[in-house]
Amino acid sequence: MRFRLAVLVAILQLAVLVFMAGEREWILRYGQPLVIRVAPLDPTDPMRGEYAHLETELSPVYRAQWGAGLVRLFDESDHRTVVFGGRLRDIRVYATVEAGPDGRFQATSLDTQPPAKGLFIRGRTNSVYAGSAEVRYGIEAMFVQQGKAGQLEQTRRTQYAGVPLDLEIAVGHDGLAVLRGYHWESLGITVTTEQTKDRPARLSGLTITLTNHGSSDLAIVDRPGAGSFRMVPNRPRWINPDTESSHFEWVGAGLAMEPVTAPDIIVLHPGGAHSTHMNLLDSRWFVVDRRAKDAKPGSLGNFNAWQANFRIEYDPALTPNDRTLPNGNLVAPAKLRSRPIIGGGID
Amino acid sequence: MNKQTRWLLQEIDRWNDERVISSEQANQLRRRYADKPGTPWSLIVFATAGAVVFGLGTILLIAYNWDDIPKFGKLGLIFGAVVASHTVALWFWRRGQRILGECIAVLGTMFYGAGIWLVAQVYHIDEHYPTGFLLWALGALAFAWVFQSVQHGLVAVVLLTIWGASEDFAFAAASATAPLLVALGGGVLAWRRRSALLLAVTLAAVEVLLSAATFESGTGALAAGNSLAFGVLLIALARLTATRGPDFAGRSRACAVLGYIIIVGFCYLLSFESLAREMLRWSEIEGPHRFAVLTTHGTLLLFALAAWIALSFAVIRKKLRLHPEEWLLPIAVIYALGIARTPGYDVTWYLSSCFNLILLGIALMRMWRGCREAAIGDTVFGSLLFAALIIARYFDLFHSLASRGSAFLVLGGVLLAEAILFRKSRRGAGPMEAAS
Repeated sequence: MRFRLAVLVAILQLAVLVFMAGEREWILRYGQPLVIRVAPLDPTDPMRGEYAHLETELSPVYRAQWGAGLVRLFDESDHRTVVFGGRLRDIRVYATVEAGPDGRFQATSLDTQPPAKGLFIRGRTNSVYAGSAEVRYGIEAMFVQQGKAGQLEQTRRTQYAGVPLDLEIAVGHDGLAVLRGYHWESLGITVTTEQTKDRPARLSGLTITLTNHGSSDLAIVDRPGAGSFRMVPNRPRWINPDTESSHFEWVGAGLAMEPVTAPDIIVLHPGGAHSTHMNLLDSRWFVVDRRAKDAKPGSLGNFNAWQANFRIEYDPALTPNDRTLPNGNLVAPAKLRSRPIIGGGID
Repeated sequence: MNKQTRWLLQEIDRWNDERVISSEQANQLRRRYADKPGTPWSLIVFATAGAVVFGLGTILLIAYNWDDIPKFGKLGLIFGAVVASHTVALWFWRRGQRILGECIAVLGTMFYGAGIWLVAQVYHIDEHYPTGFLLWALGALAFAWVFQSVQHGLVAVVLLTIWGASEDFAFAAASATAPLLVALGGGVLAWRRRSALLLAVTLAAVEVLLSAATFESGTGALAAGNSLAFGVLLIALARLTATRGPDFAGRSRACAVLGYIIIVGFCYLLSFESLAREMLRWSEIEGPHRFAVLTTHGTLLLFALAAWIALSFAVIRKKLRLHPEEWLLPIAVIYALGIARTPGYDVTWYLSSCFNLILLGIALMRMWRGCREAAIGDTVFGSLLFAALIIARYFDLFHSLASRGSAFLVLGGVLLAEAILFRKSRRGAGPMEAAS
């Protein structure tokens, strides 16, 4: 009897391993494939070795996207459940995801119960704040051979500077997400700064370069006067942009982009690049401190505060009609953001 | 056959020859103290340690994560290792070589744990990592109970402790499940197998988990109070069970040693005024685990109280003897919790004095008894505790070099006197003591 029980325990141990591997293998083969954007780092886990930490765009999820269950749970919790600065740590949640115009998936809602319909990913909360929920989906680590995580980061800084990394995942029917792999996007954005010659030197202009890192032709849209670019405040991800205004804002934030004309569409061959100049001393690119009394717009270089922190966003902003323009079909629809620029230079 | 038993059997033969005891009595004594079939401790210790280290090495080797080995190659290796080691273990077990079988099964369980982390690595699983330790621990615990295996029990208790502590510290998810699982899974097995080692490790794990859970959800005062209550409960249990026969001796000793480590450790920390002020700061327990924390606290106090009432009755009815200084131990619990609940306690000068006096009482009584009865264990324990107390007060009580010098003169004098007394008692005890 005891021998049979021992055999049973050995089989159970093996079954646990087979189930863990089998469930994920099944999802990899038959699950719904998705692509999401990430930003890598390179930590190490003592049990599983070196891994690239992949912070996805599926987190944070802002309160406006919370379902009734999560709102109720948060509102019923109080300061007594605060742990590590946030509430409701490690609560099981389900994020409904939908593909954006560029085919990459974004979280559209988050709740404590899976949605009745639609594609969803299950995760756990890291922390829930009044305005946003930090969620991990179990796909935030890509385990690699020792030394490879550092190489990935190095590649991101050098060979693929300014190129977003896309994460390929597969999702099972119960929302379990499994990491399949990653790939670099084709288009990258880099920025170099210019300074005034007076002392102390101030930031005076930017040269923005879009590079095709892919293996086939693609097109970009460059409206006159760097009109395809915006300055967007670079704020901590947990601050809800819908409810909290920025400290510093670009004066042109509310303006619509000019319509695209045929000469604005520029084809980049593989390895090709196109640069645009942005004169920050031009009032068009001024920024304003919204929290200052008698706030007056000024050049970014005039503000010596860490909050004067912006990213340059490239937005092709094509309408369906624009696609009919010459090479319009080659334009990648995705927006791109540069590394942060703080009053004085590149961070 | 151990040294003491060999000596005793020789003595029994001598007493029989000298007609101090009858042949029948001699046979009874021989039967009572004759060695039971020997436990191959060398095999158990080295084979288990080898299995555990080999398993840990496998985990680290896997953590390197070779790109050259394909995914299914890695999975096949680890699955194969689990199957092979358990098959060999069961084969030995069936052939009657149970200890060797158990040791190889420990290796299989280590491979099983390595497999959990390997699957997590292969499929880039970054989920709730304590669950990995829980699955591993349950696998070990199942084998521990099926084989009645102390080795598996030890592995399971350590893994359950890592699981519970990870839940507490990394996810602030304190619960009573981990200490209960350890107490039932490891403690009951230790009792059944009469394993002092497993019992000691289990009780230490329960203490760690209780402290971690209480500290995470409650207050330092509650953690200190719980630990002290747990310590006095262990000592009461040790004294109550010590007289129940040789079978209980190891387990009683394990309880007593751990109880003293906990109590002396906490009293020593609380003997520093600044630490006592911090550790005995009571704040109302809040948060989702309030009920569980308070229930655990109440249950521990209740058990400790019940055990000491039972002990007191046994002492009054002269069924057992208690060393006088052991009555100080429950006082430490009452004082710690009483002072923690006293408003404005932290401005009082006598905050830590009670703990100093308790430690001093234990140290002096142990030294005195050790010298009088020529008991080396008591003498060493008392002396070390006395020296530790003097050294601690050297830093925070004596500010002038004159008083510090005097304290060391007293310490040196006491140790010298102790040595002379101990030697005198030892000579008076005669050859039997010397042989032991």
